Amino acid sequence: MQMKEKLSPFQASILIYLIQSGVTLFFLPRLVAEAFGTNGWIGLIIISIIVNMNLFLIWLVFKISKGKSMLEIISIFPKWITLPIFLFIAGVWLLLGVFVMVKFCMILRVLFFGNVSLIYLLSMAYILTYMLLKMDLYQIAKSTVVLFYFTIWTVFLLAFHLPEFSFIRLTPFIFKGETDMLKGGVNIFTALLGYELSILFIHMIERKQLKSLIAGNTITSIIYLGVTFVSYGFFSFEQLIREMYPVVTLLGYISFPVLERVENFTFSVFGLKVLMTTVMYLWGTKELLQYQFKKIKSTILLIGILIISFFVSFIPKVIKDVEQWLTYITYACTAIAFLLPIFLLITVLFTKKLNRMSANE
Amino acid sequence: MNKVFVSIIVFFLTGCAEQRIIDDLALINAVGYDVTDNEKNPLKLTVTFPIITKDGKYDRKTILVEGKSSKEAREKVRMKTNLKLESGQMRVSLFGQEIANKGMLPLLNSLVRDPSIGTRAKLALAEDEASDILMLQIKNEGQNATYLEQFLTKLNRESLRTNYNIYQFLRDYYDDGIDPILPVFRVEKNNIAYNGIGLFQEDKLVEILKPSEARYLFLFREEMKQGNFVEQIDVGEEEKASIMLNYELKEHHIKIQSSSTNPKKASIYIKLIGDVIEYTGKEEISDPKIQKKIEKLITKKIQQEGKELIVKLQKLQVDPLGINRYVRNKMNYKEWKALDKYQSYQDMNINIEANIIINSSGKWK
Repeated sequence: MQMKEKLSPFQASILIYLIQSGVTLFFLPRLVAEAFGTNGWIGLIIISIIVNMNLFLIWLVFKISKGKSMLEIISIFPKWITLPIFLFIAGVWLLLGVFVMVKFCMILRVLFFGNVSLIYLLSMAYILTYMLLKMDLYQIAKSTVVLFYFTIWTVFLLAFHLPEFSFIRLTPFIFKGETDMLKGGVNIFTALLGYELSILFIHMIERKQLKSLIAGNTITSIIYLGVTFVSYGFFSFEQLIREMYPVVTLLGYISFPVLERVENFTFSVFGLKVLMTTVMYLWGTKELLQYQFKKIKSTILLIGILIISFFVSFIPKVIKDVEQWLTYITYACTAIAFLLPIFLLITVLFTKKLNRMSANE
Repeated sequence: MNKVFVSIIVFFLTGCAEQRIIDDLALINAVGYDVTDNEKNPLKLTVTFPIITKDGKYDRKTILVEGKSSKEAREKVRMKTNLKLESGQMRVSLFGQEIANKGMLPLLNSLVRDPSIGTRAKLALAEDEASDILMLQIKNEGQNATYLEQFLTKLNRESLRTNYNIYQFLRDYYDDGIDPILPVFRVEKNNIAYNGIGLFQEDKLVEILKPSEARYLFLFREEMKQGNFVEQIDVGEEEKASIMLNYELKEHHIKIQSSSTNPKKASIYIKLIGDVIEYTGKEEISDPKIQKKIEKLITKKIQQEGKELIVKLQKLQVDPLGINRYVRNKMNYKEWKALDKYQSYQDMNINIEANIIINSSGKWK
């Protein structure tokens, strides 16, 4: 599929934000509290900076290769070398995309719709995924902008918590209490995952590539930071550690004059963000597989991916299993996020050197 | 064609969920917890929910069971009604005095763990038995649950803001610098009436403050912004006058003087600006001189009675004002963790520095 239209920087930022913000948001404040202890929200800033550095790396690949896409850079290798690597990356991305959705649906069942079977929820999700993935990236990006406006208002709901917010509750202690900086830090880092997919579409962004990517990550980080900061002043520290889904409790605490228990609705709206995460990871999978198997028609490939996803979704039976899977997958994904751009960078530099040498001869 | 097909599938998928018809549901709106003498089933659970009688009237049903735990007792309730039990509409949980003395955490845990119960469900204490309050039939009042909920909302809006819901109670319980409090209700001449504030140490009820004492408690808690102050003051020799102020809390802060001294010193500063609503003394209240005098008298009164209350709180080792939070913010982490919080709180020297300003004398000179 040839891309004619290019993404505007705004669309790219929003795309990054929507891929990043997924199901982890609902328990991020607890993760932060477990990892960094008191006033852990400061730690989020550090992690966001690490992500920005990684984004810079991705941009560097793009810059040095003079605007080539990842697939163009990689094409100097014969297909049989790239096959295992691509299959691995595609597998990891597929599993991540699928399990993020599965986890969301499972939480949805535990909290609100206990009687709805997982099959129905997932079927709905996959039908929507199919409809989005049928289009090319430009169309997906356009719909993300719509979804962005659908969901961004939920951020302003945080204002409802101000009456219960107290600075005294933040305590003067920084990173104290039981902390688990390294493992917890990686866990929090995974909440920001999703930006690494930009390596596949950075060349499609019209202009200001680096800025738009970093802007996307900044939107996510600011929202994460806001939610976590409010949670720290809203819950007492020990309570925050015990809250399974602090953000769901936050949402549930909001009361409107006429409506009770609005979180049923807001939580479901969050599902759109999770949907975008799934869609984009599956898109990444599709791009990689399409490159490897050029002969297969894209619709068939897509349906194949979705069928595999659907059946994979039912392998873990309970939330605990999904969490276990997600832990390993996100570790793999983190490794990919760092290693892939480095690998590409080396490739680009190496190719350049080869070219120069051949030119000299 | 494809789109039509897909939308039809999506449309029909929604019908696969379980149906719940509101007439067949028992929407529990209040529960009460008490202890029993029965060793096997130590928990008494009272559940009340609205029903529509056969002749179309709005009524309620109250079921009382004994069980081992709150959810086990709930299963027993299930055997006692033809309707399907739902806890999603629960607004008030009442705790009997005795069960609160033993500690509320196990019960609260089972409330907060259940996703169908919102964290804004309100909590209250019952003097003696919670079941007495929920079983009481007040004429023309209808649902006791709605009555209590409204009552609690009203207290909250007026000058008696406490930890009313599950979230707030647990927040203060898990905060190591403050103790939760809860309002107390009791049955009084076929009516349910507010009767003071229950003071907790951790999750155990320690003492119930009378409404007259509790007034000062709210004056020193920061959340409260305005209220009424009614007091008898000595205006002269052998002469007493009653005064009522509608006040606004302008300033409130708690200061801990230097962290290293032992016993520690704390001061609570409050600044009230009030309008006189009632004054029974002989002097002209509109006279600035008299106002100054009365301001002084009220200040003295608040400082004196407030001090008495705080000494009482210190003796009981309960910290509903959250003084320890301010102590914590003056220390480093190691010192704070090593500190015996309740002992240091008891030894602390807490002062009240009140500043009362009369704004006007109402619309009469």
